[in-house]
Amino acid sequence: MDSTMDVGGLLRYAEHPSLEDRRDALLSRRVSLLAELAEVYQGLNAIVPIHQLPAELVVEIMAYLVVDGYKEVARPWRSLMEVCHRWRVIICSTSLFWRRVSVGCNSRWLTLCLERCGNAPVHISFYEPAFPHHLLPLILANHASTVRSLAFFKVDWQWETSLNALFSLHMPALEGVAVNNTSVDRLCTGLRLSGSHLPRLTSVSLSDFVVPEDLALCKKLKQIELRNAPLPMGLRKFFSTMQSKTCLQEISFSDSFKEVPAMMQFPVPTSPPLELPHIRKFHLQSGARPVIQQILYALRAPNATDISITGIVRGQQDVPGNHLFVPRLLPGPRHPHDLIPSLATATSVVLKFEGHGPVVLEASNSKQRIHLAVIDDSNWLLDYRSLLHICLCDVISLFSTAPVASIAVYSEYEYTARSDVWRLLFASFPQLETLTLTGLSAYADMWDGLMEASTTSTTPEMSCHGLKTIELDNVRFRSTDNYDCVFRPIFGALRYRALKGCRLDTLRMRIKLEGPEDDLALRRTYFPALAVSVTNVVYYSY
Amino acid sequence: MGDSNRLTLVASDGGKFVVDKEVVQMSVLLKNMIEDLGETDESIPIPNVTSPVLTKVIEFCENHRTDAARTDGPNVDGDDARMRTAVVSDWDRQFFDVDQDLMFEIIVAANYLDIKSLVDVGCKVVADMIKGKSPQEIRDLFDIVNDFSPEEEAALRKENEWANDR
Repeated sequence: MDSTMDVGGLLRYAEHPSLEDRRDALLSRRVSLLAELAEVYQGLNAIVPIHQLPAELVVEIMAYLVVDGYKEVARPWRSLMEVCHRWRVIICSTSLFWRRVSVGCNSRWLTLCLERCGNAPVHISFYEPAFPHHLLPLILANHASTVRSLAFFKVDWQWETSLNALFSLHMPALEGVAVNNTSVDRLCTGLRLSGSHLPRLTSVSLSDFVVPEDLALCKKLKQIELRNAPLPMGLRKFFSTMQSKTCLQEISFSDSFKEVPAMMQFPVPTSPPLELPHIRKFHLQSGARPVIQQILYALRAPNATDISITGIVRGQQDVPGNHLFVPRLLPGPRHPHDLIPSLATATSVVLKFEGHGPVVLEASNSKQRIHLAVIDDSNWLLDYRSLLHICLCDVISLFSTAPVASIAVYSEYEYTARSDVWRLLFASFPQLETLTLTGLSAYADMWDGLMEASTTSTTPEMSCHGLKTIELDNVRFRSTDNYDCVFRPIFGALRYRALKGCRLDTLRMRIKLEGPEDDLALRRTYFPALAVSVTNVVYYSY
Repeated sequence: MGDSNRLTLVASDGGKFVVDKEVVQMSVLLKNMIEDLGETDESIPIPNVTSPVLTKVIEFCENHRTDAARTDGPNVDGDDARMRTAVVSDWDRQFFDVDQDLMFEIIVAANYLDIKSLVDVGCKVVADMIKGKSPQEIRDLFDIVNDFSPEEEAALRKENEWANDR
């Protein structure tokens, strides 16, 4: 067609009374042509190698990507849906890809995902407070029997009515509920979780919600996690209702309180604590010492295999006396062993100082693990110069009657402790077999302490007579250190102990050196001299 | 009577392969056939698999003949908890360093012969090829053309809006 004819044709069309009809017809034809073209392309795609795979193998391949990308809110298959018609059809018809639904503000997305999920169990997470929550009971009504878990990460107090309407549906498969109220300074007070409507509820996590009274009626509860969640029924009543729950295995309390809020101000229990023998995991974190005290004095979990208590302090001034852990996490007047009896059976103790992270004291035996941590939220480090000293005092105070065979200190800083604290430590743990120190300096005070404890023992047996192994990792000599000065206390302590029949089996040292000449000096002079007092000297340098 | 520990497989193009029974038994299909046949000198036809593909499948089985619990792969019932974290070994990656025609034919053959470990490795290799790529990059990789109809394009756009409504 030449341009003259084309212009002529256009002019004719312009005069035509049904020009719009023609346009519509062309547009419609374009759509049908595109649809036809799509069919042709689908035919061409059918012969490419990857499309020889049966649908179940395509699902298999995509499933690897779903699991790998699970942390990215389960959406990696979204880009796969946009590759071609076949993959989109496969994904839309495979419930595996719709079982974990992440919802923003759009209710139609939730509806679509639920349709595609079919009858498979579904886990739904809500991330936006702006979601039209009043529609929830309506949308989920037809899927109530398949919902396995519901997580609401950002709700506000206005959601409460909708949540109660939702939880009044009969949801026989619902196992987990997590609700996080992000309203500023406004607790949600009227949440109801009905045991009869939610018969399989095993896990409840509430943040800034008043704990519902009817939680006690959920018979299959295994896990309860409460964050800033006051107990209107009082601690004792709460624990006494939990006593009857033989399924309950995990309880976690946490708050960010600095001051105890009115709803948490219960009197410190004077009656004996209630025992929850079924609890295996007990976690408690609080910025308010009275809250820790109230809970620890009200509850005992004698069979817990995992106990964690974390306190929040503001700098050194918030730590009374010569201890860090004891007054903050195991407050008096009761003895710490009354609060956590398994402290008295610890066989291994580990102290960790992790930069600006929490100071951690872990104790364990073959069955139980106790994790004590102090977080300093003041952006100031606790006074590092005295921190090791303070923590060793805690170790002595908490574990001196326990059969501790192993003590380890992991540190990133050159904390120091005086020799008298080390002496007391060695004197307090007669069953100590292994001492591991990491990241400290040359430990001269420790060796002096070992020597003092060895020479001043008040019992017929020498202090730590079973001490077999000392491991010093990441030892840093300063350039001003004189090796004679560094090694003199080591030779002194180990030679004395060897002469008295307490020869060390193994001394393992990993040392950061200033230069190769240091390595030679250590290998030629100092370590051979140690062989007199130690059976095995293992030495690494870097 | 031939060696009772070996048998002959016949590919779809007539190619014959004499292999150890132990190797062949990584295939659940062939293992069941051998049990049904009992002691026999008869060759086993593999009608859906060509010689080049069968050569590769046998190579894989011979290399993995000593793997423990070789037919006990992860559960394939769509359970989320199934193990999908297995790392593909260097040998397996090298094994699949072939053109795409052959690669997918191997996976299809492994699926037909019910060799779980080969299917798993093949799927993982393909998943690794796809990982992190945009739809267009995936199309380019596998010679796929965009074959969506206008309605599907519109539906995709709409779904994306809904899903990204944050």
